[in-house]
Amino acid sequence: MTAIFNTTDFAVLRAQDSVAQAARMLVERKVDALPVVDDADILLGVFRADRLLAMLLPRVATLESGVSDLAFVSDTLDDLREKMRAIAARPVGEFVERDATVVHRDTPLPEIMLLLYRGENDLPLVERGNNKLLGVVSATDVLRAVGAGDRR
Amino acid sequence: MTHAAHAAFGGDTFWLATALFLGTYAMIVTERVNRAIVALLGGALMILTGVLTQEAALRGVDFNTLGLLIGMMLIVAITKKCGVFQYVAIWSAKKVDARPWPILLMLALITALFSALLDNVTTVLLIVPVTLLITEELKVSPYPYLFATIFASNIGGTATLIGDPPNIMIGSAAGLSFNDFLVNLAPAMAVIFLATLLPIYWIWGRKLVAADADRMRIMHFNEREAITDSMLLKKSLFVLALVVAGFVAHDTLHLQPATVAMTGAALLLLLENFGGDAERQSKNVHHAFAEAEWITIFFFVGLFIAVYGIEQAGLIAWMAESLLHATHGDLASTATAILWGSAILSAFVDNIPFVATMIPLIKSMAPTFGGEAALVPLWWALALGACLGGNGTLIGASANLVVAGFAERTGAPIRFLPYLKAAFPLMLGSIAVCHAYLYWRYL
Repeated sequence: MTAIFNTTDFAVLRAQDSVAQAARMLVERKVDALPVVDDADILLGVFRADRLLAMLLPRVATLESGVSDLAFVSDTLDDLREKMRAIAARPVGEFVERDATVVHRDTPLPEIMLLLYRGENDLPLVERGNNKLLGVVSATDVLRAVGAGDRR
Repeated sequence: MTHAAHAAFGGDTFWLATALFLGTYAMIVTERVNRAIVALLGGALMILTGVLTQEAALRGVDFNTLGLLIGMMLIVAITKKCGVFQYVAIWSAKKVDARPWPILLMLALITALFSALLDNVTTVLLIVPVTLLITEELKVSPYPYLFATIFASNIGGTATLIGDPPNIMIGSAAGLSFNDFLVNLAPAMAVIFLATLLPIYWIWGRKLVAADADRMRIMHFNEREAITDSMLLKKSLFVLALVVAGFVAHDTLHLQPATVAMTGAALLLLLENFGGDAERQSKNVHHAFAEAEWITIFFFVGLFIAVYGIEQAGLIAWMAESLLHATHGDLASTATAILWGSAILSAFVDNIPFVATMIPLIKSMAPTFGGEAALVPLWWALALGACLGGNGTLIGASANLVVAGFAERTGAPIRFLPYLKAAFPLMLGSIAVCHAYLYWRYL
């Protein structure tokens, strides 16, 4: 069971880290979400790539019953870069998803699979009770563990 | 006291019906339980306790109001899928070179026009998202735009028979046609609309500034891309045009507005689905029916029964007599009391139950004023007060709450008290205009 968790080589963010640092880490690590911890490694929540995309989109487009499509909007890459610059220095703490789904060492494998299937990639693995971050688990970790990619 | 009321005071049902009605009203006002549940329970209890028989209860339900509401809801549910509302909003913003104050004027005008023909909540649900998109691109505060949207939707809704549920109820009960509303209320609404924009300009509009680069972004919007289904758009506009023509001619054709709206809905459903396979038809029809606001519809059903209960029990006659006593049976004083009373009450409580109660009350005044024809100024006073009163507070109308909900979720909330400070005096001003208008034209 432990084999599916990545407990050695995973990236973490601190609440005071900047959005720019977080964005760079998402790109370098090729992950969809990063755990955010405090000084005692207690999980505060998760910073997601799609939250970053939402910050670059018009706010009303990300709301339920907001504008249903943006086919008529012609913002360019330069416009988006300008928006990125405007938020780059803000701390990730402002954008943390605090009620993020987490898994524990004893979470059954099918439950983890189901969460990943539903799109919650890069789930934090925390210690039951004190929420101390122990590692992460991603769809790739699970696929690797079940033998996908094995050369025969 | 009338004979009916006198007899009822002594009877069993007067106090029973009064208690049930007050209980229902109190539950609606406190909003602890969904209003449709409360109204249905209130209606059911009127039957279960023997105030009304089931046959009598059904006589109290105004199916013309329900048919008109459902028909229009279905037409809007289909029409909005094709993106026409976003198209119009973007087109109008570009027409004024994306300058912030003229955009506010255009969006307010569009909101008022749409609200006159469609339900106010639907209108703001369609206009507010694109308004927020435009203000974000222009980097201006959305607050004045949303404030103007609330006022424009309630003012536009007041102008026609189909614009606001109180008008639908009043038109149906008093036998007033679409054209009656248009000729009598729309001119006053045009004046009030313009008069409302002046303080909005003074408080916010003159300070609205946008950078050229931000305006250019709006100018680069391609409104044609907002149209998602041009075939459906043509069908929808065709049916909407027919329905509006039907409303204008309904009195001459001896058709009730509900027949016009329901026929329009059936025709648009047919045009949308003709030739499609069974599964697709089923999906489309299901979608259109699911979009109708059943909470509102069932709220009306229960309410009509509850109000009919107190009418049959004699409470309405007693209330009318009390009001006439207070106004010394003078038509002008009665109209004034109805106008101002309904405006102030409607700012704080749902205007639908209030209007449902006032309708039989006003009807019962016919003998005092010399027949039903003499009641017309009172109907206009009720329509103007109940519809425009909704502007006074953030909870005064459902559309206000929808706008506030959007504002909250985009991080620029509209708070109750700051809104009240600007809106309540503005609403009172609009009622003063109505007061003058009623005296000038009818009293």
